[in-house]
Amino acid sequence: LPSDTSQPIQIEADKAFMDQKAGTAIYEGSVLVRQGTIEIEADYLKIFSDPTSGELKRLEAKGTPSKFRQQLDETGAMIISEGDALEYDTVASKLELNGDSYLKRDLDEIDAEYILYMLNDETFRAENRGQGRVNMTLQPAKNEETP
Amino acid sequence: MFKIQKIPLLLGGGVLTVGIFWFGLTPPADLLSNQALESTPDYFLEGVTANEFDANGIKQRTIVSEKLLHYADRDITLLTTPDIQQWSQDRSVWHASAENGEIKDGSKDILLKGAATVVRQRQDGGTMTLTADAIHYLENQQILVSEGNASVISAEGSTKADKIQYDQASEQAQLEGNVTGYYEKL
Repeated sequence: LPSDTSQPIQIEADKAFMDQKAGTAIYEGSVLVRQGTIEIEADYLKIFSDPTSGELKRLEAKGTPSKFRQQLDETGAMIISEGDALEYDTVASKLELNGDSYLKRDLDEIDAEYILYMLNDETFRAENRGQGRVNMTLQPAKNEETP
Repeated sequence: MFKIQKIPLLLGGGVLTVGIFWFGLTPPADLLSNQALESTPDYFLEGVTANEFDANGIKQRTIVSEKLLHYADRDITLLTTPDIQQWSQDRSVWHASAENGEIKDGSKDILLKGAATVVRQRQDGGTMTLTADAIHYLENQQILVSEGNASVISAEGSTKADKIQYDQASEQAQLEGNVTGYYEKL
């Protein structure tokens, strides 16, 4: 939901290691992140904060795969994505998926090696950085006249 | 004939009476049982303020305690509502408090028990707070081990766990068991 990115972030895990001087924290073991309707699942999560202000800047998740979910609107439409590595920039509200990535938004689907998704304006870009091609299935927009 | 048979009975009864009488008279080996000795401090103080200085006369630590009891047989000092202030090499101030405290003789380690709290006030104004059921300060390793409902609160956010080991010098923390992190969005 639009309000997601301004919500507090809650993280659960089996164990963690914090470095206050560097402003980083590593969470490991059944990691679950929640921010409003946003949910991230991973095996490993590293968070980056500003050591002085404490503001949380960025999360890096790794998993087999790491997963990202978010409810898009009140109708319950969802965006679901997976990737070997996932990076969520909480300041720019930007999600980047790397390595064998997949994103499904409502009925549209993408498979690619790299997917960039901008949460606020709901736009995405997909690339293949090695061989292979980007696979994209986009549903035609519903026409008002079509019964 | 009848009289002769009575004599052993009389003798037995006499021995029994003397035995009971004698056993009743002997005082117990020690007037106070061991249990009583263990719960008795060899000295105690009330309204305590203890200041510790280094070789250059710079104050290192202040311990304020409502009551202080020392037990010689256990080499231990027990503190009631200890309130401790300590300055580390980088001159940041550590402030610790709890319901009870324990200090072993000859050691600078302190075990804080019951609503234990340690707050670090850094030179740059930043603070870090540890809370737990028990916090063990280990002087030589310069670490604080929090166990039971442990939490570490800093500018980044607050994180809870079953156990947290915090290294004073590196400002790094290891958290284990049911870790939950909470970060406000600024």
